[in-house]
Amino acid sequence: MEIFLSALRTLWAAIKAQGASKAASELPQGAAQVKAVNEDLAEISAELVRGPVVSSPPAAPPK
Amino acid sequence: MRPPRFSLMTLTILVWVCAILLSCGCGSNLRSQVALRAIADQAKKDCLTVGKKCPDMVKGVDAACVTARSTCTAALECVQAVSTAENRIQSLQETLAAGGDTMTKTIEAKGSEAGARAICKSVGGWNGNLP
Repeated sequence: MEIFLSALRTLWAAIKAQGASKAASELPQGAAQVKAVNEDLAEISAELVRGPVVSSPPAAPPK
Repeated sequence: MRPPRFSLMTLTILVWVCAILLSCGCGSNLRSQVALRAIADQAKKDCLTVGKKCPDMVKGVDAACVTARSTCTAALECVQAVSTAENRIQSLQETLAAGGDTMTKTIEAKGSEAGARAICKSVGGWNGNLP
């Protein structure tokens, strides 16, 4: 029974180490997702406060 | 007297097996982040599409502007919740990578993810394109 428990502990440690390694490798891609969502948030906030689009008058032809 | 059906040792083994199975069965955190980002992108796209029909989002009073403001306000609610969830999942990933205790952060991350999905679905029907 002790051997079985020891094997389970070893398996658990291996799974935890694998999880840590996977999480570390995924960190940059996760940071990219966070950044993209923050950009979405900024665009929506800007859209909500967007005023009338003022078109600039055509430039006068050179004399 | 009848002996107990499960000995302490058997229960201990069961707990270990459950813990191992649970850790294998949970989905990837990055996958959750990508799915949430898809929802946020969908909300933003809808806001910008509807917003094009309104010349002035602040002062416009016609139906197009009212619809646009409503859609964009809903999208803002959704994306704010998604942003919170994304940050919590990222924080969980950092803790996982460092080998720290993740119980509280897992609960926070999963809770905020579920909350964000529920908010986005209810305010705008946004559920992303990923499972």
